[in-house]
Amino acid sequence: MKRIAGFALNYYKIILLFAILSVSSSVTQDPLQNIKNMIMIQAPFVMIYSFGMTLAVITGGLDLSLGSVAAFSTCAAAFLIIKDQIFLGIAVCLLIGAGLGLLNGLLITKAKVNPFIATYGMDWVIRGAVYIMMSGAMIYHFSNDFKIIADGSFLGISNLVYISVAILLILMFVFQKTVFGRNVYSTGANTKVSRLTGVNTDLLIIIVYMISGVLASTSGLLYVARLDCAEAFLGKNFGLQALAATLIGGTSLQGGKGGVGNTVIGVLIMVFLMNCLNVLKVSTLWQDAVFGLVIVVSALLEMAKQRYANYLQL
Amino acid sequence: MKKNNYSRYREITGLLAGVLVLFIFMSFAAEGFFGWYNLHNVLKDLLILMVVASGMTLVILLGKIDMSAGSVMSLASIVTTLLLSYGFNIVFALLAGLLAGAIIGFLNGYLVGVLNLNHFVATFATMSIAKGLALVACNGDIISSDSDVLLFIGTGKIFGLFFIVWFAAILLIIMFFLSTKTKFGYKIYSIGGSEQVARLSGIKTSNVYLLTYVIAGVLAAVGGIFMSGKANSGNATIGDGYEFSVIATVLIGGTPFEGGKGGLLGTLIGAMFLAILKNGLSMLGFTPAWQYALIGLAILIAIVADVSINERRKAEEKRRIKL
Amino acid sequence: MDETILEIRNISKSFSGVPVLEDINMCIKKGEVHVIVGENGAGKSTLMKIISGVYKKDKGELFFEGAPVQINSVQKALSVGISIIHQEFNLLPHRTIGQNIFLGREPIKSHFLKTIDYEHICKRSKELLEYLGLDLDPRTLVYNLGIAQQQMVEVAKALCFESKVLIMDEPTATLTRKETAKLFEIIKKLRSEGVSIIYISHRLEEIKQIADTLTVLRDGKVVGSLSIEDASIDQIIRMMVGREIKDQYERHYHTHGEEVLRTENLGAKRFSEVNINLRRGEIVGLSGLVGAGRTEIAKTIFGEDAIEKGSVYVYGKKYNKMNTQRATRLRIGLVPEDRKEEGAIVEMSIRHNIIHAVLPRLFKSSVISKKIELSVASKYKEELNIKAPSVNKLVKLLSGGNQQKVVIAKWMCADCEILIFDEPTRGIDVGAKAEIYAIMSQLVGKGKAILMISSDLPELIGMCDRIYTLKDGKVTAEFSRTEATQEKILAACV
Repeated sequence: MKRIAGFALNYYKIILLFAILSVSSSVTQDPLQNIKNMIMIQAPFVMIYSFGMTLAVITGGLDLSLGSVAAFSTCAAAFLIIKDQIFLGIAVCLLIGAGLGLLNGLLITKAKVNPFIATYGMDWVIRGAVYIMMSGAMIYHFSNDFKIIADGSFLGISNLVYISVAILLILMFVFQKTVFGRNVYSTGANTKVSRLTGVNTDLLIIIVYMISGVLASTSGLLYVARLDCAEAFLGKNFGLQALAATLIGGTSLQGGKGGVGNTVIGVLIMVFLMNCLNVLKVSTLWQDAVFGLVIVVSALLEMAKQRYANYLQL
Repeated sequence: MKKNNYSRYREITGLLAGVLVLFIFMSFAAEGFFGWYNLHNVLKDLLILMVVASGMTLVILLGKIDMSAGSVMSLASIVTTLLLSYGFNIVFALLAGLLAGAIIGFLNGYLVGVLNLNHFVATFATMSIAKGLALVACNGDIISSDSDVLLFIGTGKIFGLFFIVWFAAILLIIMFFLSTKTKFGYKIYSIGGSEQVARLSGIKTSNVYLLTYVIAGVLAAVGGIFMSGKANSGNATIGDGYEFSVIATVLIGGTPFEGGKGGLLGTLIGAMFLAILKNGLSMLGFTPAWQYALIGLAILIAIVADVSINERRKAEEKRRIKL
Repeated sequence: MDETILEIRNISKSFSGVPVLEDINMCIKKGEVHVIVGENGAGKSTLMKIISGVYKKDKGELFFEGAPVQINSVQKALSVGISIIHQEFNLLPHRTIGQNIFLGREPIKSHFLKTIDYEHICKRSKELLEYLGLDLDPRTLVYNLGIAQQQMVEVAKALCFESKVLIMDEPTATLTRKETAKLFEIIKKLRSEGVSIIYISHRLEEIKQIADTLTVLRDGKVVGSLSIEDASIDQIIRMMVGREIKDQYERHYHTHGEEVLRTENLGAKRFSEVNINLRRGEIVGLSGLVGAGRTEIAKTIFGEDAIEKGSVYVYGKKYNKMNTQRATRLRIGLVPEDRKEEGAIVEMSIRHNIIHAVLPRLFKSSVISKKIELSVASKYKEELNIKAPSVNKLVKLLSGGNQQKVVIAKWMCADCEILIFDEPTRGIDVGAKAEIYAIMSQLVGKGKAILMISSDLPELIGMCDRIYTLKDGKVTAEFSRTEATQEKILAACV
């Protein structure tokens, strides 16, 4: 019993993944195509902004402004891209993402606002700014040169996969192998000790929120390219879904633990779960409730793991 | 009493002065702001905000937060109007709406107080659960109601004042009494001051958390029912983002996140401030999008100010108190 | 008078497998002051927490007034008549004195509404405060009180519970001499009224003044109980340490090198006009009571707190502003007082912690090589004799002494020239203490400079070349190694 419980707690992610997959596969006609679809088309978007969330969670905070950052930066960029200034548009988009991340970082480190409140508040303000900017309109019909970023494929694999894997590898390298990444983990685990060891913790946290902002705008841009439409409502669910994916992936809210690698599994679980509900003909209105439940369950699992670590000899 | 609570006393008078300045500004700048018809409506909005914020005040006094307040409003609104549309009795429908709030509140209290989950994340999760349930229940539609009673709750008047004003006033008096004079109120302040101290004094903290979150949930549900009464319809987005205004109200009123100090009186003034600001902005002709962004900005500034003032105060305390 | 009120029989307790208390037997008589002494980590506080219901015992029995009692919660202990004043006060700063005294047991006015009778609280609190000789309004916020007054509120709280046994855990640690005398008066008054007091202390000189009986704990065991008339200070010390006191402060005194650190009229939050200097090859001590500004000076030099006035000279160069990054670049290291919160990241491995400060210099290309990391960390683990199976073990699983060695290793690894040690041996067992002294000697032998803060006077006198004394944020005197005696230093501190 003890062993089974311990096993379950250690490998719950894999078990969950297969359980969901087997349910959805038993209902769909072409399970392989379905899985391919999920991995090629759906997961990359979620993955990119979830990485942003994960990095923020590693510093001991979180970033709930992902969605509005994505909306604001892409809407601003769309004005340029629609005039065929694609590269300038992309650059502006990423810069805005970084700039908004900078604001988040400053609020958290310099004004010392709780990250939850700071990014939630920013989410509100930025979303308001997007509404003002777009005043109810949408921008659509982009050129093919732009749409190809998300629609194109190489060797039968969607560009989205290449982009997200490239981002994953870069982030894994930076956060596992470099001095910067190591210091981010130390800062997340204990900011005070890190500062007292001569690490510029404020700067590190600000940079991480900037990266998070850039990742949010990147995934926003890909969405716009894919949907061929920039609108103010983009990314309403980013923060919630990313938090769910990050937590179920095993990155702890205490900071300094987990990583983007864990989040890949977390994202797959979330995407498979959504797909599963979809093929089971569950209304998409259930999404919010499901995200909430996943967050609660993963927080509980994390707690159980800590509390019974000794007992279960994990 | 006054002498010793001097700093709190000064804080409250300072806040009141701020509200007064804003009020006078709006009276001159915004056409149509100063007048019984408009001010009566401001009073109504203020008290709806205050009812929800008084529950939140208790939660923040405990040193916790309740992100689910807005979603609970939506859920209560949907539950009540949905049951009405199925032909249920109005009393039953209202009670069911309140019960929905109590259930989400209980869930919050259980996750935070008993299972010790991070209160931000736990209530953020229940926020999306409540929101999701509301959406599913109404299938994303607006549910119109033809109940005269619900309409009366939202817009009816007694002796020239809105029903909401009377009802909220009674509710607030009860809440004020509860938080300052009763054993339960004492316990909230003790736990917020220091959970460890409270525990060592034999206070069963988990019960207090549960009850406080349930109260906050029920009060949010009351707010949601008021809102749906105003429109005489149920809407799953009625409380979207409302929790943010509510939290800001509490903070502006001088009850900081760390818990254990502050109280409902300050929250009332905070509610005045936000309600006047909101109404004044729309009277000044700002579009809803601008209002959304400006109020968000004002709230964020209030939060930053609150945090920095309290940082300084904490540094001061550290110097003076060995705890 | 000879009636036993509380008897402790065969109590044992262990934390995660490490025994902290073994077979404790003790008798507390009615109306006596029973002093418990022992070194840091001897198990005094744990025993008291068991008696007062904070911890659960693993084994053993308690008898109160002759009858067995099960104390499984603080509430139960209070209702039996046992209350405790912890080292860290259990007061709420933003509540009034009255509310604090009656915390958790407020009188109810109306049972139906559960309203609280605040008038009664104030009246009764006023009486208690008057009994203790304090002229305070019970409606004052505790926030506005000084430390000694806060302690009196704690005593009033215990009295209000009509406690028969009152436990005080190092009550005089932060009191001035005058305040201590007043506390002793109150203790004597309580004793004369039949209250038993269990008094935990480090300060042997106090014991003779107030104790009736004395119990010595060492390594979780009772070494012996004796009446105070039979005990001499020497005997108590022998019982506490259990072996001959050898000269554990092995210092080789070197000729001092050039000056590496100097402060000029340095001032910040809790101190002002501080002028101290530090040369290569010497250990300089900072002595003073808690709150005299020692830790603050250290943190200001290290850049954690802002310099408000004056400046710091490092290697002769003047700095008016300092931050922790600059300090570490200047090869200054701080071994802080609070090991677990400020010294080491306990959730991370030994390797992570040792390598932490040197990271940017060790890996200039910014890419971490695990091989180099492991070899460097292992080298310091060996050198400082950190007892752990591997450098990958989490720091939180180590003993206090080994954790402290990890912190020191972090700075040695970063090749610090100036080290600040803030209470380096607090909460560390005797063996590890000696090792840390040896490391410090070895460091100054290599030409490093050490600034040492300690409350343990013998340790300070044993280790330092020079000692500065502080009082209320000002330097009051400077003693060389040959001049320094405990009496002189104490006189300069109080």
